[in-house]
Amino acid sequence: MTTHQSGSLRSITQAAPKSLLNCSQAAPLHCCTGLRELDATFEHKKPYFIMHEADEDRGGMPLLVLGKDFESVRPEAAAKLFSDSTPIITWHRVQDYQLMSLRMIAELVVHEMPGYSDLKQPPKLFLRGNILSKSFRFKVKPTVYVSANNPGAMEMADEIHGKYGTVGLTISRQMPPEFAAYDISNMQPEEDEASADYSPGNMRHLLLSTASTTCTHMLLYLCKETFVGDAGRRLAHEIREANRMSLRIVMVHECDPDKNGCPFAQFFRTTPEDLISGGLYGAIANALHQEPHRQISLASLAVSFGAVESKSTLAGKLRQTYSRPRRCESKGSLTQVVEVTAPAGLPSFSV
Amino acid sequence: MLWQIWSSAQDQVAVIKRALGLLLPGIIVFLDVDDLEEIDLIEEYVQASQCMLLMASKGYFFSRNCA
Repeated sequence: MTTHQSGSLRSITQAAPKSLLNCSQAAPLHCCTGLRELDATFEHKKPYFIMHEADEDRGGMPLLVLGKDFESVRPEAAAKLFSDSTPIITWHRVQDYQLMSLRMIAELVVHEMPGYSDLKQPPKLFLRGNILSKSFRFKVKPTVYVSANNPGAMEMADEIHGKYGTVGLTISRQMPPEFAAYDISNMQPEEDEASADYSPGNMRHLLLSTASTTCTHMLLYLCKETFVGDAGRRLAHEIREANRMSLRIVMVHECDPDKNGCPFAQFFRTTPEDLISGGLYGAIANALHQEPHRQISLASLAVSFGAVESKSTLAGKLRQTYSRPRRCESKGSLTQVVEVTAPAGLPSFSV
Repeated sequence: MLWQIWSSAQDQVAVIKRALGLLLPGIIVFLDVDDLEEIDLIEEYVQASQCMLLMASKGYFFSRNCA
């Protein structure tokens, strides 16, 4: 990891106090040692930041609950610790997300170093291999069907289209014409649907007898309201039709509680049995996390829609821009590639 | 039970310590389970640190017994 600031990081860290970063964990604040650490942090006006374990299956808890717990013990200290100015970073275990969490810690730590502490904002760090520093393109431009019976899916589609629309991702809100119309009176009994064969082999066979759709994918946005009520039944019907057409279903699991996110286990209670037994959840759903990690989720989702890393890097783009016209012409096909840049609000990477 | 939850976070903080050592060569990370030699010197350890990272997980802020 390097910074865009001049100077040797190694020499700075060696000149730092006895320890640059003090990780407080083993002594939680219900024990006197933890409280002493915190009191000493406040007393010596040491900068502090919080790494939040959000995964409730691994000892995590909502931050609000953690804050209330501590407030019941030490209201003044809790107000200080959880003030708006305290940087709070969510910890993740999946590599790309974890790298972002680590990079954010590193930026905060570097910001406390002599030579960087005068900066208003933490310096932006570049991490090799970071998915957000990659540019994507689509070899085959995807057209994604988004159902009106899938609550929240339209908004989600707008999000991904806002980022990858320029490189060829198209969103279709119109049901593919090959889908059979949903008619409750003509629906098969539930037992028949449950016994229907939606296996990929059978789907391929059925596809031969149907017209091909213009859509390449169907987006299935999974949140609290998915598969609920009449819209849920209609959505289930559309998924059966997508399976019948061998239309690839790309699932997105909303993890942001502010956007109706819920644990994945809920979908095993709300999804029609025939879809579960037909292997709907055999594929891995793309987790959609809160910002700033959400940008990684969107990049991963683009990969699910067929995005591949563009060989055209920032340095390559600059070379291409300033190279002689003859060389540009010889690589005319590359001019079709449109680079995607990180959206506003995210760190602007520096090399 | 609390201890097990605790261990989960302990494991992750060890991951953070190791990763930061790789990402920021030369950084010195004090992790109490690794580096605490004398419990009476906690305030001095904090004073010698440049910044504090607090891993907030279940049980961290729980009891009022010692408050």
